[in-house]
Amino acid sequence: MTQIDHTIITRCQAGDRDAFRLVVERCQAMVFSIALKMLADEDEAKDIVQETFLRVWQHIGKYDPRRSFTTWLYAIASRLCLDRLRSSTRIVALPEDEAVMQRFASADGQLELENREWAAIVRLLAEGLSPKQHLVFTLCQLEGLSSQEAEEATGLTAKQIKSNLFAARQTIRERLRHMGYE
Amino acid sequence: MNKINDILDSLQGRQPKIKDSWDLTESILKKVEEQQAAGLSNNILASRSSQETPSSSFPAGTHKRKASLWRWAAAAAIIIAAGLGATIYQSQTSQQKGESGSLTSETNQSHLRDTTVSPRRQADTSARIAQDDLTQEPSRPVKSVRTTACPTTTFSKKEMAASENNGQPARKPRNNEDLKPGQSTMPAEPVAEEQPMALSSVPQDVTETDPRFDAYAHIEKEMREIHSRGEKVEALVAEITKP
Repeated sequence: MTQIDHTIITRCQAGDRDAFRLVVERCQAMVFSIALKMLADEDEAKDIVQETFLRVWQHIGKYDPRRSFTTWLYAIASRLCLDRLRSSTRIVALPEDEAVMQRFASADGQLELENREWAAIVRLLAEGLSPKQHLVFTLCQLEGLSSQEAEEATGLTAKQIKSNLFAARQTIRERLRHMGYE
Repeated sequence: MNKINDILDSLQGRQPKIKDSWDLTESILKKVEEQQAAGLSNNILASRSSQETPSSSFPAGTHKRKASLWRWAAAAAIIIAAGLGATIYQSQTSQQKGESGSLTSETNQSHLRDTTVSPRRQADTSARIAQDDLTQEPSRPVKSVRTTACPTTTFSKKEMAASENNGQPARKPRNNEDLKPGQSTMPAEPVAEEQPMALSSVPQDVTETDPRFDAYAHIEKEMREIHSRGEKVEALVAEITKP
């Protein structure tokens, strides 16, 4: 997880735009990653990145320095992604998405994925998941957040995180099993 | 790699790339500048609010009290206006109801007018009543007969029998389905003229000394009375149907 120096945040809170530029440069890949894995669409992910940093700039004065800045950033991005997911149509896998997954699996995970390939894999995995399950799976499984970080980012309890993650994994395993994976 | 766990693990921690050609930093900072220019930033708003000085010489609490008073006055005005509106609406509604009531009564009257018996039908009806009760005075006022306005009226067997002519058997009452609107079960035209009755019913071979003579004479008398009544009825019908 990207770490931001506390002094940079303090400068941002004082209205320093150069400090904010540093924050954007360092954290935009992280925000884009969660947005693409949530929405499976490159353009929508870019929109989410912009909106997230605008919110950060607007509300940087309310940020509590005792909390992790990146977790706070995840929380803003997650909420925006959930809103976008709920307002748009559900994610549906396309016929060609299976071929992308097969290529990735046959390369033993060494294949460098393009953004459109990421979108294909996300569509394949996330089809049939609820927005909340999708978010927890993305944060815990794909982004590698700990349970506590996921709790802070989503506002869910540990039990809710665990149950949503379990349900998401079950659904995804079932789907991959149908595709011939063990 | 056919293991599901391996696939999921190999996806973990990977980040999609943001291409250099569309680095979002500049566009984000541009939007931030726009927001600052519009004064939407929380930082700017917060600093502005802290630097603001009271624009009037009222003490700090006075504005609040004045605003509260204005709010109460506005609420009271809205309530009074709503009450007035409701009262006006009620009065208008009751007036409209009164008007519609008078319209209803007019409609009822027109309905009564519509059911007024036509002269032709009055004649038929009065003739029928006269045939039912021949003992009554022939000058019975027709005005009292105005209850048979329904065009699909059916008559009882007795009425049908009374309306038959020339000794023909009584017709069965027709169903309402057979009748057209405005058609009655009564014959449309007045009863055809009867054949002149043979008043002398006493046989020629019966003399006054014959014991059967009295009986024949009685029958003859009765027949004459019936004939005279028939004439009266015909006269009555002719008088009524006179245009």
